[in-house]
Amino acid sequence: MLLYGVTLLLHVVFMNYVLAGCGYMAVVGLCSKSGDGFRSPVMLILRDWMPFVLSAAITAGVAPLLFVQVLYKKEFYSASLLLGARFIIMLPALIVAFYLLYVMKSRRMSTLPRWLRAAIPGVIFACFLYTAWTWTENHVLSIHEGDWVNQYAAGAWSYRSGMILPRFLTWCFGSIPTLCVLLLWQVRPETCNNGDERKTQCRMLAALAYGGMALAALSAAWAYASLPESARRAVTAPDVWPFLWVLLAGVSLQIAGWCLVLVAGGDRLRGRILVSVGLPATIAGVVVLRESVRLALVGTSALDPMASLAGSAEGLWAFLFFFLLNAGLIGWCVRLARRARVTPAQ
Amino acid sequence: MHATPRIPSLRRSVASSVRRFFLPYVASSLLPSVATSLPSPLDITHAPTKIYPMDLIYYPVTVFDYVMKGAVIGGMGIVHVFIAQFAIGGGFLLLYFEWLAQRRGMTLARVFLDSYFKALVLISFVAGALTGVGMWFTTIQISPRTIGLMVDEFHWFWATEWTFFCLEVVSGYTFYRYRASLGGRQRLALLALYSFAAWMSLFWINGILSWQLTPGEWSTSHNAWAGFFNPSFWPSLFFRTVVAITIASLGACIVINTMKLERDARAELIHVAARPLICMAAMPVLAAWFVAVVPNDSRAWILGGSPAMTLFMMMAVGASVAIGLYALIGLIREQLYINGATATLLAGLAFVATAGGEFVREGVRKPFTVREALYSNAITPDEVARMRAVGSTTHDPYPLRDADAYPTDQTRLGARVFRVQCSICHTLEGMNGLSHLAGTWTTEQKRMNIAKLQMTKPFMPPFAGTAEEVEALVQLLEWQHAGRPDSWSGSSDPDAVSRIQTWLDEAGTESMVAARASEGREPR
Repeated sequence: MLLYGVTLLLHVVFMNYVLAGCGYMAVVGLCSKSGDGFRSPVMLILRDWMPFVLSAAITAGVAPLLFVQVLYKKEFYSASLLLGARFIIMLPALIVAFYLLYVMKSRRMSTLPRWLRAAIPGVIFACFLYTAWTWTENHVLSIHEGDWVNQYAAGAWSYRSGMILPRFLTWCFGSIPTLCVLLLWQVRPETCNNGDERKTQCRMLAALAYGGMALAALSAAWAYASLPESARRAVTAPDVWPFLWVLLAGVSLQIAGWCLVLVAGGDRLRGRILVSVGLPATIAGVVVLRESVRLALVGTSALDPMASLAGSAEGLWAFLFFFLLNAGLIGWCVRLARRARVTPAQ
Repeated sequence: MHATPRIPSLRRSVASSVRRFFLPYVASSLLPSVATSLPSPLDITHAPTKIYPMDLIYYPVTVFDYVMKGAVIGGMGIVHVFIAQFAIGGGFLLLYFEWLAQRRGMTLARVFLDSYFKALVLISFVAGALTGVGMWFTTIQISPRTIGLMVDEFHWFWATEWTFFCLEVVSGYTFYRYRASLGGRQRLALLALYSFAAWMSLFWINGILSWQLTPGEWSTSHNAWAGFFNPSFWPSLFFRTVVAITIASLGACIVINTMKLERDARAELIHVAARPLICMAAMPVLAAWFVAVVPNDSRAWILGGSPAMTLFMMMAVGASVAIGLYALIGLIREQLYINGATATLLAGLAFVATAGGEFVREGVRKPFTVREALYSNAITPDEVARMRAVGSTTHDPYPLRDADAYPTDQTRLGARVFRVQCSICHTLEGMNGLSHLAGTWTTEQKRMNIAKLQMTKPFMPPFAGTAEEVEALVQLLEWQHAGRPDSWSGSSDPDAVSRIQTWLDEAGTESMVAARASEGREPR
């Protein structure tokens, strides 16, 4: 369960960057009359990094996909089967989005006709919205075993539940602060024309982050209201209090950190550190709350034997050894990359 | 004067809460559960008694109508394997060219590296990664119990593969993005790391896949390491490595033809890129090794016992021989130049060879999807006897979606039996359709052949249901063959059911593979 949570957190960070980043690019694509909007520092960074971050999100997503099958096999498989073709269609959607991201990365992007400059990021964002919606639907369906038989009998293309939209919106709006934190580190002096432009970009990120957190909080409140009573009790149970504190602490750190960024325009390191510490704390708290809702609705009777079987299965020590080894090698690669930075393509 | 009441500082309140609530929680709950979940290193050698939570869970069955489920997963699998092996072999090829650039001063090598890595990123980092995820999605759709068993057994091995997958992506992108700024040793080190990580991802997945066909000592000990290093592990690993290098070389020939270079320069690059094809000479030996270690019944099907298996085997062999001869004689010995069309044709042949090989590898596992542990229809050998008594559909909660299309309860029961036991490999009217396969059989032949299914075809599992369910399936096929009329009399002949029961008892609940092994005629 711990590994599932940690790997899910890692996947969520990359996934949020992709989702919110593509949303940002879609908005710029729609609003930018000339191609200039595609050449702002934030847009250049997003266009340059998005294919890699998507690759990272997919790679990082394999681990929680594996662990969710160990922990919640029946639920995950049943929901995936019930969604059937809808689930499989995610693949061509992601392939299309991935290749279009390379089109966006190319130098030609800012010289394309306006309708294409709007359509390409729009299609990309639509593909990721579809993926996010499908996963949300899958998750909600998986925790409602009582609906499986009817869902199958109906042969419905989608699953309707009052829980889906608020959860979907919580994740979508919640992705914005993640994007802003990561961009805050990426918007460096060498990526901007001058110091004022950098400050402007950082302040814009602060405003976006505040907006995202506010909308995410509202959506989360709606999501909480849509929960059945047992799940609401689980979210506020004493066992979960420490993680609620972690979540609140994370949000508080982000609010304080972005305030410093607004004031100093991103120059103060303390602001960046505060938001960078607050963000994973927030996501960790959200992940735990999400699992407590799932456990409240699914029950833990099948979970304990599976979890202990997973812990005792052979290969654990080999995994730990290679995890540490490869983490070190990845760290070496990152160190190599930091020494050999390039600026984004114009 | 009144003392101003001190308002507790926020920092002190937070610290107090952490001390009072969070730290005790971590100490009392989180740390012990982490500590107790880690087994002692001494447990590596101890094969624990496995409690197999293979309770019969009925999953909702995805219906593909006219398309065979095996074709769906096969199609996805073949594409993914081809692209993945391109990535693995590509790593070795890139390392070789970088070495040539640094140690032999080959100026064109770096030019090739840039173009080839771009192709690698655009093809294998995108389509390869996503088809890999697609394999997860597809296997869940086709056979959740199979993938569930594999995950239960090998999730730590899969997690290990994931760490190498991460390393592959990071090292690959790092090289691609920063190569111009890196020194020679760093470039070599990164490419070596990428190649190693890519090959190690093959190492781990190969063990899991080969276990399905030759589980080896795992069948008795249920030790995952014994299952991982099973009899066909090493021949399939080495064979796939050679295939990966072959695909990468052929892909390089295509990429070279797209580069804006003079013909002489392209020829020089092609001759260098074709050198690794020499390893194809090892393929016959490795293939023979693989065939030698697969179960006897599987080997017999490849070598003529099953026309379909033999046909696909010949397809793979023929395509490989064609590529191998052209490569060894034409490219390496005669130093021929090949244009883009020829290179693409050779790569196409490699795809055909891959497709044939993968089809054979999957097909010769029948009637199992994990040998002696799980039949293709996701029923375990132990469950067959139980389902003979209680029925295969009795506890299936999922109704027929098109129940109104069937005229009688008996045909509806037949449809549910078909869904549970047959639909994994068969359709009714489409690919591998039962209506076609059993179309010429009389009613009595259908009854006996289905009751004694494992004797009808040795690669079929035993029928796992009651005699009434056999009769229901027979009536479904009869009704289908008659053109699906609106009314159907069906059969309520107790003598027929009695005969079916006799045939079921005669056939027993073991597959022919297990039966021969029990008799001592064939090793497992």
